[in-house]
Amino acid sequence: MRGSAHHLIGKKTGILMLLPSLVLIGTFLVFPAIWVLYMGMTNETLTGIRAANPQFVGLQNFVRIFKDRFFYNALKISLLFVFGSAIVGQAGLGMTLSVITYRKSKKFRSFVQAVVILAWIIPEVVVAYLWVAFLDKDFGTLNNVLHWLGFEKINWFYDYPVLSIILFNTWRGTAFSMLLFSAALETIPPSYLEAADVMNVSPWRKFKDIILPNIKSYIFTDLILITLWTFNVFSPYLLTHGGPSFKTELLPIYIYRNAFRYFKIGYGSAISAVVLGINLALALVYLRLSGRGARK
Amino acid sequence: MAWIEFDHVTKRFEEVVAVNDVSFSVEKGEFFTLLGPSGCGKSTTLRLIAGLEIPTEGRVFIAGKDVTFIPPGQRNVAMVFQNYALYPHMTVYQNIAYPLTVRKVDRKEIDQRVKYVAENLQIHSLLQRYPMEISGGQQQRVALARAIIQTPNAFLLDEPLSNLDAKLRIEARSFLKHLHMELGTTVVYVTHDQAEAMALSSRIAVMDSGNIRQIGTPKEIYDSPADTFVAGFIGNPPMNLLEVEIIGYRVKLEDQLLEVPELVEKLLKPVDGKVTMGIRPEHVKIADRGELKGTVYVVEPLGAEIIITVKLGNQFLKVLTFEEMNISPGDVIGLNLNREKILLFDERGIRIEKRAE
Repeated sequence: MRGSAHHLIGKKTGILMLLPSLVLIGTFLVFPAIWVLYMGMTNETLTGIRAANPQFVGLQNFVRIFKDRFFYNALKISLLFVFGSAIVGQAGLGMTLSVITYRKSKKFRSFVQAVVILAWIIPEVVVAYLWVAFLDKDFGTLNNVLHWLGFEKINWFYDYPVLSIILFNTWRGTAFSMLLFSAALETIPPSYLEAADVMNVSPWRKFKDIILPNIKSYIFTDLILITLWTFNVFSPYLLTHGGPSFKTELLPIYIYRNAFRYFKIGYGSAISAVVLGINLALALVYLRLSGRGARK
Repeated sequence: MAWIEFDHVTKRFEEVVAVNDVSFSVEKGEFFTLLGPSGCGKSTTLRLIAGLEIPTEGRVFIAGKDVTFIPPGQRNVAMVFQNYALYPHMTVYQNIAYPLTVRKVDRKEIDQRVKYVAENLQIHSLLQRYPMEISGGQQQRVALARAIIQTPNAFLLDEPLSNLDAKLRIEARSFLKHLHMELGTTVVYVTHDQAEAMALSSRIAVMDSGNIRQIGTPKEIYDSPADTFVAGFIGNPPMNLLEVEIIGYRVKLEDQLLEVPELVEKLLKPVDGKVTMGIRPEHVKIADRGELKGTVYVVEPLGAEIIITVKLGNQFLKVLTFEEMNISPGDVIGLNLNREKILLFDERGIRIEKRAE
């Protein structure tokens, strides 16, 4: 793949063809990111005098963030949320499902995929409502079932708020990982596993020795994507509004609270810039790991 | 009892019958080849032996044991796949050692055996490389080494030479044959290349659309093909198959007549009317006063031999000769057929048997 573009088209033509997308990326991604960084150095608010005439305050906002215990709370919950719902939940469950359906009949695989994708194609707000209806203390489906089975009703959003949003996001996002892993598994030549079948290799060793090394790069790609997405996901707000008492206040919700509930646009922008930095760092870590994981 | 036995095995995939009521047995130490065009069911047959497919009907036996429903890993066979199925993330050493590694064989013993096998197959200098870094022929040897190290009841080879270029293929073929002589292990070999089958096998099963057409030694298959399919599949160029008419003691080919009293007398059943006559290209001789006359259509010199296609009315006849000849397209030449070698096939394409002498 390396260098093939140089042979196919000239450098000038290449740049020319890249130009439209570069302009779009510049306008809608790079510029806002820089703008957020700039706003983070002002004391701009949503209303009042400072909305019209924001002042440049340098790194004041950033210094404040690192003294703000709510920032550390949000960071901690976000990391827990990413680990629980993205890495363990979506990737783990997605991998399990794709391996279970791998080399099985097409009908079975299509059925499982259809069910899982259903969770993915339903609009976000509807999904949130479904989960409220499912986990509600008094009228929720789950509690009704538990009650019918003779268990105590549980106030899920109050007693297990983080677990609730982790389950919600796992359910919501597993389809992506499962589809990606299923597609990755299809790239393994069937003879690799048939050879292993004939050699009497156990299912676990087949997974560890043959499947995993052959889809490693797909796994890293998946992990980068879902980590970043989950880090920036806002929809748990629809379930818990960040509560009770900030127990589910993820970073995006924390930003939202500061920027749009407390009207502190400048401060909110500064937090956004920090989150941007965290995302960048995470992406770099994954890229480094996957680069090292690849065969020399 | 036979070493590997198929007892009326049928394999259906939904509506397609891949293997249709096939029975055969392979003796211990034999080099048994399943030969046929693509889609004839030969690979499915091999996979049925390996246990990668389970028969819809019938039974499979290996080493005297009914293995019909036994999973592949417990049949103690080793398979070499067409694409070799070497694991790209493992070194050659790890690949060869893998069957023993998963059996939790002692590390020292693995090391000894890997080195011994690698030495034998002349790949010991490649042990630390990755499969992508070695040539196709070397990859094939690694795949063979991985099979040999398992000391199986039988080797199942699925078109192992077809990914090699022509020159390497001939070399690998001799190598395989030598290897089989050395190891003495039973081999079931799948190929669509009749030359490979002829060169390697103790016996060949010719398959077509899920059925076995004939089982026999290469010589039997070559000299007395059971039907026109086998006759037309084996040999390069394959046997000439001509539409003729038997009239009394004569064969009528287009508008020429050929006296064949001995042939007609020897046939096990009386034949009259339209049949197919088969004669191998090397059993036709070009002679000035030949009994048949034809027009030269194409001359193909292949170095040692020459293939001459002759037109007889509306039919073509290929002649294989090793003599240098000064003929060119358009020439009218005479042909003599070796009467002993003429075969006749009935209207269904089945060979009409002759009395043994």
